[in-house]
Amino acid sequence: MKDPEHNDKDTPADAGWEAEIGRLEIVEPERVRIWQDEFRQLHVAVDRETEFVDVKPARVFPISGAADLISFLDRDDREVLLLRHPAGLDPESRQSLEEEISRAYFVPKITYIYDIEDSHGAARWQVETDRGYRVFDIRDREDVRVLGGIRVLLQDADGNRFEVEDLTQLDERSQRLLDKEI
Amino acid sequence: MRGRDRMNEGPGKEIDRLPDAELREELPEAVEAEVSRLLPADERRLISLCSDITADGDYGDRWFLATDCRLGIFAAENGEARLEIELPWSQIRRLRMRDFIGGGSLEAVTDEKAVELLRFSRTLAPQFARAYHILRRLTTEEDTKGEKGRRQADGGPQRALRCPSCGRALSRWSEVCPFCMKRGKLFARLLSYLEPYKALAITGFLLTLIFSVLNLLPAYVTKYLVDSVLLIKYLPGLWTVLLALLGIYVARAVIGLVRGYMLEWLGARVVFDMRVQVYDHLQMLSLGFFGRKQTGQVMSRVTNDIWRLQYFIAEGFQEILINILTVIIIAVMLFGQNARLAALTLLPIPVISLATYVFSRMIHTVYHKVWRRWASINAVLADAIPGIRIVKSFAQEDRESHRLRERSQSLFDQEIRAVRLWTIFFPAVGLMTAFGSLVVFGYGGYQVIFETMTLGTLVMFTQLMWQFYWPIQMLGMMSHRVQHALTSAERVFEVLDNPPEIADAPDSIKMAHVEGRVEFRSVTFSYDPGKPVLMDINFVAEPGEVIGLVGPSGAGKSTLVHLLSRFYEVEDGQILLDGHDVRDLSLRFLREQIGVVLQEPFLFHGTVSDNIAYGVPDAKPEDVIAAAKAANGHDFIVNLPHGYDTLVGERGQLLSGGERQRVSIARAVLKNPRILILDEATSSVDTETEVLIQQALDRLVSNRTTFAIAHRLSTLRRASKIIVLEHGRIVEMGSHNELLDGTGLYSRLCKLQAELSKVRAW
Repeated sequence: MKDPEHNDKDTPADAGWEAEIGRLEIVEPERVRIWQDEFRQLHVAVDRETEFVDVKPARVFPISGAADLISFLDRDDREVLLLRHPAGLDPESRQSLEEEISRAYFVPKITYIYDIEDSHGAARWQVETDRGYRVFDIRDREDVRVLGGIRVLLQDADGNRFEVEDLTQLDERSQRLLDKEI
Repeated sequence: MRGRDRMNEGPGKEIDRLPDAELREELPEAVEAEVSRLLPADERRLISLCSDITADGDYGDRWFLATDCRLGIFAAENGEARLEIELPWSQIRRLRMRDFIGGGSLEAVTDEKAVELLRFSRTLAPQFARAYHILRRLTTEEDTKGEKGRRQADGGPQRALRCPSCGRALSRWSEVCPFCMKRGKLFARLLSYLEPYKALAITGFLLTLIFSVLNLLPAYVTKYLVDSVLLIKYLPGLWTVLLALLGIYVARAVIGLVRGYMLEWLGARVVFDMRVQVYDHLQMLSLGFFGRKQTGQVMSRVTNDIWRLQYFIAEGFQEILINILTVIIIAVMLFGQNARLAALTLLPIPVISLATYVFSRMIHTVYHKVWRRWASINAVLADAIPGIRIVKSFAQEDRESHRLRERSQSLFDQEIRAVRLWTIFFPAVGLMTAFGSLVVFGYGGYQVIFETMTLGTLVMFTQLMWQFYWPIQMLGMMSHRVQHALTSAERVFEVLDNPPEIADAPDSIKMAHVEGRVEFRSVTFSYDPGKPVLMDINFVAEPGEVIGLVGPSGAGKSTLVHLLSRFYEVEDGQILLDGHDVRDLSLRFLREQIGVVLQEPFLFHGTVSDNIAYGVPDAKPEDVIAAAKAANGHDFIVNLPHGYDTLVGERGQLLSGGERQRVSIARAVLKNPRILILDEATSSVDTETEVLIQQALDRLVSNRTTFAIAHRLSTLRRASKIIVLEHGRIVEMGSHNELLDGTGLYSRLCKLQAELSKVRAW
């Protein structure tokens, strides 16, 4: 369903849809400022007029990256702002946002696999990640998802996330170990 | 969150009881030295925990120490410790815990700023959550509700169970740790099922032994044929040989037949016993057990795991036995004839066994991949075929074909991998055994020519050699099957080893007459220790009273009625029925007093009449009809093609939602309980049906103490008392009118629903 090519073809072109899509407000980065206050609350201001305090950024397509959008949610998890193309923010805002996002998505990237001890799908992995060495347990092969044949997303028994960005970029030994699990 | 009592106290209170060892990790030497240097001797250490993420977001140790005066964070690197953050409690207004994808953080808020104390992965989140709940009482700001906080960013999956002996996470499908499984013990337990059929099992074993010997005898006879008949051209000897061979073949056929039948019977029988035992045991297990498992998982144990065992006991087991016996007997025969030649014959064996073992591991991995790809094709089919109307109405046939084609391609690739393995393996092993035969022919031929060995012995050797390699290969292949069977055995035994539901106290009582007065006295309950689902619940339901239970999802409504049925035991407090603690009552008796009507009525496969009489199997047809009439169901039932004898499909699929509901109400009416539980009984039916059901319910609730859980508040008109639950606590209690006048949750919900019903009238 996330196939972007199908979108143009499927989009109804009648006026009703125009109105619908017109209601969707995506704010351009030039109009937005983001900063964190001393109480570690994130502020988002649009056009220096409207300001939201203590918001939480969330990636809209965190895995596929189908569109480069960040949603800001208030305390009650209601969206207050939908931001397009966060890379276009001014440098300070961008940094504040990136810090918050990197905190909110702690997904170390696996760079080397030392060993995978597998017995019927329950497995103990020993890996090197961009955040350091880690040992974790996978409960089930369902928790190892392969996307597009090269990207691997993992969720361990405690709910920690890991990622192999591109398995073809791993060394041969790691690839061989990984191949048994996917 | 030990000790609820503390939760009601204000801030700045002292913590009188030290938390358990889980929250008091021992500090490493360097940190300990630094702490002792900085800390006054009389400060009491409350909590010490190690987090696994550094300030930069890398994996690494950071230590968190809380005393009754302050908080400290220490970085520890290369044997040196450094105090990074120090904050006295008097400066901390409150603590804040944040949940992230893959981790969380703890922050302290002071008058001027907020400080991130530390970050931790999901692995440590439970410990830090507990620490947070204990420590927030020491902060200066009032914090009674606790951090309501945002919805957990990554509430994610239920945490995994871990193997108690090695600490590895266990798979969702099995609570058996394959790394710690004791194979010998398991095998012995499996064999103990043969105990009742000892005579049969032993006879089977002896027949197997004879069968293996009979298999090898022809080789001996051949030796005699060559040496003592053909070479000396002795005709009467030929007849003897033919007769002997005929005898051997007939005996082998007969014994093989008898043995096969006996062992198959034994396998089926043992599995039959086991299945009955497991199913009986499952009925006795508590709801807690079923709550931890998925239905499919439990069913798989009764069917798949036991089926696998049947295969193993009936066939796998005897195959192993035959193969081992054959190998031993042949080895003995060969060495007895010519030790040197025997040693040469055995030369390729280590290589063949090793190759077979490696191959079986590799093929297993590939087959597993094949199997996974099959499953994914099935998943596409299971999506697309029932959803074919959607597929067609969105004109997406091509996409579905494409999806299937993609997965088929992937399956094909893996299948080819398996084929490649097979095609390499067998010729390779064939070649190795051929080498073996070259050696035998070479050395044996040499000996025959120089007359140190007879020709008959050489012929016998070559025959036995081929019979020798095969069982060796079979044994190599069996290792995975044995592993699978033992895992299945362990899973089945695990069910059997689960203790049955809370047994009745030895002096449990049955009351002669039940009025139906229900009282909850400071009841507290949690599924997971530390996460109370119900806290300090107090109320009384007088006989015949209708109690409405209202509150958002997850507030604890269903848990409350489960406790009344004693599906779970209260953690603290008491539930009383007519003044008796429910724990003192016989479980069976208690449940006989309680009738249940659920939102999704569950009907069993059987007739309408069977379903209505489920709780009272000896009910007369007139009783069933009376119950159906009371439930407003009689009219539609007699209109069914086979009336009360109509079979309802699996889960009652032939009936509409409203019809099923009325059958389930009739079932409750017939049981005639003193206490009635209605769990959203009228949601998910149309308005007209709702009226019918409501009428039926009104009849049903009269003179019965009733607990009605409802989202649609209009259905609670008859309730004499409404209990509003939120986050596991009673936040409001009173009649509909009393609560409506207030400004609480109930009146808010009522107004909202009134709004909603206006909107609905488009």
